[in-house]
Amino acid sequence: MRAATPRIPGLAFAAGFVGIAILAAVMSGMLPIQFAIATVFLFAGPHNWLEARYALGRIPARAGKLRGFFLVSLTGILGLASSYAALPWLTRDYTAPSAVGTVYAVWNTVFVFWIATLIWMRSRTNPRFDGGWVWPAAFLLCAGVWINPIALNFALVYLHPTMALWLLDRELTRSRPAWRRTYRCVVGCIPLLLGVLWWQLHDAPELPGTDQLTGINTVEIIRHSAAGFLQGISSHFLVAAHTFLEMVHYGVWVLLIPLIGMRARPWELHTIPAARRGPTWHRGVSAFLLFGLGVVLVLWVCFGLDYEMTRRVYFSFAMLHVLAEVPFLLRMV
Amino acid sequence: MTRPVLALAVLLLAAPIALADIAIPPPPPPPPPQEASNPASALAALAIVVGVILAGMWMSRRPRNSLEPQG
Repeated sequence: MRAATPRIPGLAFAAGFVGIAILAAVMSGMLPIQFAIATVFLFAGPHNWLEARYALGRIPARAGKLRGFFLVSLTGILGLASSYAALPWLTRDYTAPSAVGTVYAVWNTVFVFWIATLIWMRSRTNPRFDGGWVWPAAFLLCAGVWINPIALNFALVYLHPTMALWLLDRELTRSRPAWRRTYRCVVGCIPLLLGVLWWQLHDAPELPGTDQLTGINTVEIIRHSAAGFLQGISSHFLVAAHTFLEMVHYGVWVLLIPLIGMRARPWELHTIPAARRGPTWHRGVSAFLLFGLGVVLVLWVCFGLDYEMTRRVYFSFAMLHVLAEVPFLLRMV
Repeated sequence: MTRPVLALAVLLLAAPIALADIAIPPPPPPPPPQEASNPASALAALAIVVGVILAGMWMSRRPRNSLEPQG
């Protein structure tokens, strides 16, 4: 007897996606701080490793005509990430708020024009598109940066998790085009669930500064979700919304993209173009992935030893993978 | 295979020591200091002007759909 063909392609995948989203919304709404602590502890390291593994499988072995694009990408990723991690040290002795604002505005201006340059370069390679809108948009965004130097940084905190949804869409287009329509129907559950969180939590009392269960200081977690910057909005809602988006983004990277996008098991290096270049490259890729696994394990150990400090250190360097997603996404458009 | 496992073990054992040596860093960039204020409204105005001019130039260069009858 022939197995019945599913009427809706990718239905199980879509159900999994919605399941992750609902679970994340329920947990974030009910236990925002505890869930935020647990998700970062569990997935911060692994999702970076899986992201790096996935990117390695997609990056061509030789840059060829894209040398310029890769060079600008790499320079921006390393330069912007290291300077971002150094910003707190740079501004440590500044007393005037406008001086601190200027430093952040300069960083954000470079960031905006780096992205604009990459989009412009991408528009001039196949499949081409009209990239003329990039420069006016960059200047107008730059104006916003100089009006409010930190708004873009907080916008990034919320926008970065949604980039995973976009990348998932591009991956489906590439590897499971029949599923994309179903995915695009169900991805609407994300704003819907955010709306439900708002409806339930918009007037919830402020969160305490210390987690009762673990004793962890929660001030950084609350500030990270833009509470204080977005005054008048319940910190309970903000932490829940941010944790919800982060969890969906972890779910995409840890579960969904590996399930649909990886052509082999993570340790099978023959699917990585760079590893096929020669024995030295093969060893280099192996060493990189093994080092990454080591970092994941060290992160878990450090989180267990001192969660607050490890979280601080982790988020100081997490900008690296946020920036790396930009050129990667652009190549997939 | 032994060497990588050994390296990993050393890395794991070194974690608490490394952790003890790290000076507690100041708060990470996200979230940036919320007291950072508007540093240069003149620059913002200049960026708006340049942005609007560039937008106008881009719009004027774009090919338009002609409403004139063909043929």
